[in-house]
Amino acid sequence: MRSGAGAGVPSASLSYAVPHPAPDHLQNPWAIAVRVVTAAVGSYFASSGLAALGAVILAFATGIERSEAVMVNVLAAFLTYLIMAMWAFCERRLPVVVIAIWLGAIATHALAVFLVSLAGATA
Amino acid sequence: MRDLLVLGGILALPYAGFCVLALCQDCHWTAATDRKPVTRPHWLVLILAALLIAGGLTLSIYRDGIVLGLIFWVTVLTASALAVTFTLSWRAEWLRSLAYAVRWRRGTAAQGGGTVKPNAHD
Amino acid sequence: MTPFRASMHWLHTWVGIALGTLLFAIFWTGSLSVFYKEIDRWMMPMTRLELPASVSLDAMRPAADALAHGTNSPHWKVYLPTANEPVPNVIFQSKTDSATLFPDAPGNIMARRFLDPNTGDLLEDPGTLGGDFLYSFHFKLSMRRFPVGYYPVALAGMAMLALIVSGILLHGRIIANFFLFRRQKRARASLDLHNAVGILGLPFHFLITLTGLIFFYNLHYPLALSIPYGEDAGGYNREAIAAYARPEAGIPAEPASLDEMAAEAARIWGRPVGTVRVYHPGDKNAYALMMPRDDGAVSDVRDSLFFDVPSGKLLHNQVAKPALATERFIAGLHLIHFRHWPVRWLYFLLGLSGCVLIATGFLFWLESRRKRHAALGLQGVRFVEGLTVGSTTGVIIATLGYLVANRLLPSTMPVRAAAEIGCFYFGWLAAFAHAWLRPGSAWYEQARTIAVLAVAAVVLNAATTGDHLLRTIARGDWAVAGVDMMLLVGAGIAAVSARALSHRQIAKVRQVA
Repeated sequence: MRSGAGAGVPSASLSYAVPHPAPDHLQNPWAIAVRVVTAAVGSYFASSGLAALGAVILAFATGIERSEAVMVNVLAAFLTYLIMAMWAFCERRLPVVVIAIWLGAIATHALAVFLVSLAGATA
Repeated sequence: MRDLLVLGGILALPYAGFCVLALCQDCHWTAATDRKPVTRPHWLVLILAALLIAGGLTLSIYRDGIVLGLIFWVTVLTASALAVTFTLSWRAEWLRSLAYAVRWRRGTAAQGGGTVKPNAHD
Repeated sequence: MTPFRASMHWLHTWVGIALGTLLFAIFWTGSLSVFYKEIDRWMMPMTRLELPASVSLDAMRPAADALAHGTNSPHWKVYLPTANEPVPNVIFQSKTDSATLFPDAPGNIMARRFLDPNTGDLLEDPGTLGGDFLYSFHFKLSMRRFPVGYYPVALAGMAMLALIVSGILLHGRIIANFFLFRRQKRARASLDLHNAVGILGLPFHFLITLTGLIFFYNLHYPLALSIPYGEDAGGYNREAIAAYARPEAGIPAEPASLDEMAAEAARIWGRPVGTVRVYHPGDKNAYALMMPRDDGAVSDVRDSLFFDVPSGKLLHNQVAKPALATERFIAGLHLIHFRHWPVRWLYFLLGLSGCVLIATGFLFWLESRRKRHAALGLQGVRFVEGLTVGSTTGVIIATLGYLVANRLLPSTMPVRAAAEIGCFYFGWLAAFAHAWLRPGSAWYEQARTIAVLAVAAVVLNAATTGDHLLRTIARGDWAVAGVDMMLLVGAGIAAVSARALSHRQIAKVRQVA
């Protein structure tokens, strides 16, 4: 509720908006470069792998048609890409970011390919 | 002709609702009336604002069905809220009567409900 | 400030500065694309025709067959006329391409020609890409020969989503500042306007960006589409989209009546045909792919009916399953092909508000760092100020230059379409150069240029085609009249802005002196 003069008067200072020094984990140019590449490229592959893996699991678990399972997962992939990319800049510990995203990208793709080949062999 | 009236309603009702909501905030009430507000708006006023905004949705669904009506209404919400922002910035005095309707007890000078200097946003 | 908030700050600022130019151009051309068919009518006077009572596909077939003849895998696609595009147009694989500098290079370019709606004859080559250049700039930077333009646009789109989310997360007082716009002071004015447009326009900006990204899902997530199918890499396409195809037989055969097939299709769907594609025309294995007109509902339906052309028999009915139908609905939210003029106008205005969002973001960055950079001797503000002017007024000048060139270039010129596009890019580069070379007066001079160019475009339209505003309004040609009127409105806004900017500059000079 807006009550009283205090809460209703907009801040005269722009303290929440004016230039601030970058947080500690975004000071070093090399760290920034690694985070940028991880956010732009690594998160993309991580979201793609997650979508592939999710589609394979969804199709085999529920029996819905493969193209439908793929579509549902691809729609979600745009949002997982966004979340992971933003997380790459928020998380303080750089090794955690790099390992989680790049390893996740490789692992999800590999697991998806492996599961499909299993299903292909048994079909 | 009838369609123009319905369209007008779809645009005007959310605009009115957002005007009411804005005038519930002290800085905008001051901008409209050049006085300091003394009383808080009654909670029924907020209900009224919500009804006005929902009224726009009702008219929109009546005109175009649920899907198109919802899409139209969501875009109208942004447009009317921006229109209220610009009204308050350029011609806040146009909303003076509505402001007094929203908070009907202005208070006397002794209570501190006197006039304030024009540039109240500083 | 917490580290999280500081991270959001850093991200929002740097991504905004890096990609603001591209994002402004995408929002600008996207807003114009709402009316790209109307811009087509303006730029191609020979297509300012009336919608006929009925059209005959069989009458169009000879012209279309002739256009598609001689390529590797001949096929043509006809868009049947609608209210805002009253002439049918043919898309075909072109052997030459007048929109590039090398018209005789091997063709894998899709070109577009228009047909007379009554007789089906080919209309003369308009020698311009028209509004389609702006439309394709919006999603693929109009790169015709090498389809790489899609990817910077997609990156910018994803960055826009990050900008929106970070903007919300770093905003301190969303409710208190909901309707706030303190326009008296420069720094606060730009920040307040940026916040107002960003918060109030949040549903639109987020959804238009997300739906635009989802639209090209098959380009952006190829691995996710192919891995679940294992060995069968083309499986997704086959199951969901292009369910029917067959190769050429090499034996000529007479086609049956396309109009009868269209009538059968309309009977099955309950609505008329919108587009017709014919593969291997004139061949025994020729087949037609028909899709319904999509101006009735939100969804951008691509349900297809496949017909055997020599016999007219129905071969296959492709209907989208639920998840794909959802994606088609999401695409339809972005394309707004449906007939609803208030929503189209609101999308246009909200798209322009996206441009305002980006411009005010730049302006706030500049105002909040101007004094510090001047005191410390840093060049950042000077560089970004030039970047801002070139990105905003610059791309508008480029667009107006494109329209003016369309009216001025002679129709007999060999690579006319390429020359027009050259004027667009030349105007844009010139605007950037001007902004960096004359920082103090760049805004004012470019605003004046916009006003002059916009009025010139209207005058040239009247002079070269005879369709001045009174005549187009009298005959109900709202496409051409609308473009002329918007040009005049834009000129007015630019002129008023120029006056305001010149007052401020005089005041600034007086302050220093």
